[in-house]
Amino acid sequence: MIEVAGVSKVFRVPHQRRRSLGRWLAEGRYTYETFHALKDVSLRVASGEFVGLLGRNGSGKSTLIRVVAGIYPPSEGTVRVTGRMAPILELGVGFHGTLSVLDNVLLYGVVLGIPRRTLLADADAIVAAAGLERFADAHLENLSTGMRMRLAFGVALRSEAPVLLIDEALAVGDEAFRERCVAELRRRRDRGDTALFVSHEMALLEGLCDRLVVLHKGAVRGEGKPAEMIALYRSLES
Amino acid sequence: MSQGADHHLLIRPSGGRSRLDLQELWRYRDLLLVLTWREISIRYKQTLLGGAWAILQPLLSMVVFSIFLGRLAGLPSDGIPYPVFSYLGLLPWTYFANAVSRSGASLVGNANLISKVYFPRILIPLASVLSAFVDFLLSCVVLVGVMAWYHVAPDPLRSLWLVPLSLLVAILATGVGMGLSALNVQYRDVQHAVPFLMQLWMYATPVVYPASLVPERYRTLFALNPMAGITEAYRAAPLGRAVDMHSLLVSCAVVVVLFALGLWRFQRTERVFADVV
Repeated sequence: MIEVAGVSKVFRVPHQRRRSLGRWLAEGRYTYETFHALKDVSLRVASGEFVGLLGRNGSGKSTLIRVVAGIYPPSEGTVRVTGRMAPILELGVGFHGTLSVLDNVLLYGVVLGIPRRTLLADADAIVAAAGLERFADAHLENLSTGMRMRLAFGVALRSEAPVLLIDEALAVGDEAFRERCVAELRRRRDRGDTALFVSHEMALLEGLCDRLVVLHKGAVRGEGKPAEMIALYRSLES
Repeated sequence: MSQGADHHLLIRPSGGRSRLDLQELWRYRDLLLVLTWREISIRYKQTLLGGAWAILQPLLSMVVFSIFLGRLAGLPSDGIPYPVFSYLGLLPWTYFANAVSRSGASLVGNANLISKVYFPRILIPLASVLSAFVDFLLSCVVLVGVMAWYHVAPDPLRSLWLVPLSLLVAILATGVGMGLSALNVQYRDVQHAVPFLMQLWMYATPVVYPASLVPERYRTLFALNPMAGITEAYRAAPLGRAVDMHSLLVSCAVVVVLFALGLWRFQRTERVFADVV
């Protein structure tokens, strides 16, 4: 279960990035522009529910999902999460090109919170499932983007965490890859997992989510049935 | 819910005093291990000599210092062959300098990880200090060879001192590294200043010269450098000489202060890392 209560997030954007001591001494204190990325956002994702976040660029979707993931501390409000989380904000976070494919499985898996022992036992199977057995010992940098995404997704699948946070991570890859992702997400939904989901693909949102939340300029504009919310989203002025 | 239903997380606005959450660190031990291992395996990738660099660093420094400072300048070495003398000093020093410079650059170097996943940020500088420790262990093995070569017999019992002393160096390096890595997020000047800082710090530490060379009236000031007391003890213990407990205690106190300062600076910046890097 995810419970977001009255969350606001204010970023302080320096007028000019003054990262050097010399300029700091010369010009004195920073001056900031404050930017309200989220304004008093509340939402609830019950356990077993798939909820999608919909909104234009800059509406605060990614900020919200990062607050839930614990990456940004909220400026106000609280977030409660019950159940272990798998934050998939980008496929292959922590991948390193000069390490072997097998080593990267271990690295990314642990970053996602999968126990090391599980990964050591499953690494070969993960690589095989991605169709990369022949390249298990190759440097990751020698693989194509598609191969890397397949590998990363294969690792992410092993995370049995029942709460998923997904930020457009699945927008990469070709049709076959996407179909596999969607099939996996369906399986997770049928199993009773929980997900908070950012995507710009209406078909995906409509097919997978029980409910959609529309964010606009950092605030919740509406929530409800996917079809209605997609209509609301389309009616928003930019 | 298949698993982890008992797992609760509450995220609140940060503020007030944060403290070191050791329970959380323990939960993330796998990540610490893997980050350390990643740093070790990346470091010597695409090098011809690979892990041998860990040994060569202090060994080559020893050769250079022995020729120029031991032979040509004739620096005293407390009655021990100068190569053994300088290697015993270089051992903790090389570890300290490597650990500090790697952890100092670590947060900025791992910006992508920080902005995409949550984990206790302190793992990043810690992994750097730990990865340098592996190099250090390798160069400790070489110490045995160096002492044998110069027919210097180690005192097995007193050599045990090296364990707590090495731990002390690790704690100091973690404190300094945390502080510098946090500062480096805001002021990239830090990564340019660190090599110079480490060089100065080395000359303030009896690595290539004995502490007995320092004039009496500067001794108090000298002892405030925690690496001074540690290095002297490092040299005394395996050769069976008495460890100067007084200056070692001063070193311990300074280590505690520097660690607390580094942690404080780190935690103050920690909340906004993801916003800034």
